[in-house]
Amino acid sequence: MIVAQRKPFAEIRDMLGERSRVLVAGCGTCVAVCLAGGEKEATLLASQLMLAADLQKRDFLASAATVERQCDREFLQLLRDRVAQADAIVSLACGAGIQFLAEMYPDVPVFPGVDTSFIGVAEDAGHWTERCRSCNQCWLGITGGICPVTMCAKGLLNGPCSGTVHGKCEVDQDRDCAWTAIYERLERQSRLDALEAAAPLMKHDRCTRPARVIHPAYKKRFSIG
Amino acid sequence: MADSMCERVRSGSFEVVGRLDPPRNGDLSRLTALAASWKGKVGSALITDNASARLGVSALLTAERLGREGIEPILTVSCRDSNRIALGSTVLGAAAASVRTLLCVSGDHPTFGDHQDAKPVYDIDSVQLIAMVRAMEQGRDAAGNELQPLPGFCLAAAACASADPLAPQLGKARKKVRAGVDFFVTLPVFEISQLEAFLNGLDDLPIKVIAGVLLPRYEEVACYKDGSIPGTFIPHDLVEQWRTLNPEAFRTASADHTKRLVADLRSRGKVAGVCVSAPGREDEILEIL
Repeated sequence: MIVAQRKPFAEIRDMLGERSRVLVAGCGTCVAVCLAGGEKEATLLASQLMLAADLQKRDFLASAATVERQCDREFLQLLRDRVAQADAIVSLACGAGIQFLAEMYPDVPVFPGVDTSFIGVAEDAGHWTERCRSCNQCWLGITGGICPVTMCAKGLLNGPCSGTVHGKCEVDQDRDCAWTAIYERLERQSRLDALEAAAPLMKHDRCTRPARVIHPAYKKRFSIG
Repeated sequence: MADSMCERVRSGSFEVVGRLDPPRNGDLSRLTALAASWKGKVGSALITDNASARLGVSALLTAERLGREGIEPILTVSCRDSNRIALGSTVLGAAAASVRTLLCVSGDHPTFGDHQDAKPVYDIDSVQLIAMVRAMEQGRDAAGNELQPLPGFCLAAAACASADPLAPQLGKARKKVRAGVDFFVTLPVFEISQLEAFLNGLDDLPIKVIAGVLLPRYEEVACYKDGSIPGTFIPHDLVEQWRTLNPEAFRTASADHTKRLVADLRSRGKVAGVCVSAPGREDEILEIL
């Protein structure tokens, strides 16, 4: 899932400036799970904005609407009538959803209500950690299912740096050293031979931005190849 | 002395390397004067590449300058600040400047340095850098494009001999050997025992090891904990002992300790030399040799 964090309220309020009809658009998928931008958070932010405007005795109206996913046009269309009444939108979706919403409604300013953090997993209630940098060239087959691109602070592909500290990371000793973990996992699986060969250079041309994926079955439809 | 430090290391003579950090200003006069004072006592000067992620004069330029002044440089090439194009450019520059020995490292993370919000590059790692230089000697750049073959370099790599756990470190060291490294320079050790498992782990390979030693600063020891100096593990009893001393007594005690360590390393014959680091205490390096 994509993990995001709500921006500080003051930052959102300052971005909105003097705009007075605000739609807070929540997203019901990843950001709802990580408690940053789902229905509850959208409703809460709209109320916060209303209270802040009340204190300033401003003519101001904020309302919340949450769709299943903001990364899908069919759901974004459901917001059309609400957007028509707004002079600004605060989207609580991830960066992808925010952009897709802004693309669908290009006449209305869209502001981010969250900072998108990473692709990760739920460790526990309220605790998420990163797992994937979407490099488009998965190494997990030779690294014991632990991603060196993501889990090593330096993204090293051939083993630990010299700075590893008793199995922890040079950069932050609250984090495990990815390469110590990779080594231990492969040793446990009797697969240390997977580390014998030097890893090839990262193919950055496979992850030029913005990336694009077309399923082979749809290539004809999109006139590719 | 033989022609180059690599030949000296290969021939089995004990090499003394002194580390020099290029200054954080545009004036190399102090550094070159210091290196000149080492002549005859220090075989080669290890020029760091923005050591500890701190800004300094270009390592290549510094190495070239020292070479012109008759001091053999070992040029550190770090993957932290440059992508493969810039690293290739540095290697070409080293060839053009007749810098023959390179220390290929990944580099301390920027969070240790003076530009903590800088982008860490690490486009390639130290193993890949070694392989890239060897390929350039054969007339291929990192992308496989042809280039005029470069003269052969002597390639060094770093390793943390006192790493815990050691096995992953040894595994990577072996990759570096397979990639074509000529010798290792260890991160600093403070007791010979910190080297033993590492040396034993590589004893089936024909690879030389130069032991790193460090003359630490008083402040570094005062706030030392494992991990505070990347890759450097000061035995806890030594830290405790040094912390009971005032700055002047510490200065003497740490210099005496390092002097004894260098003498022991020299006499026991298990390593090919020492690389003495003394950031902020470079003037004391001659005293401990």
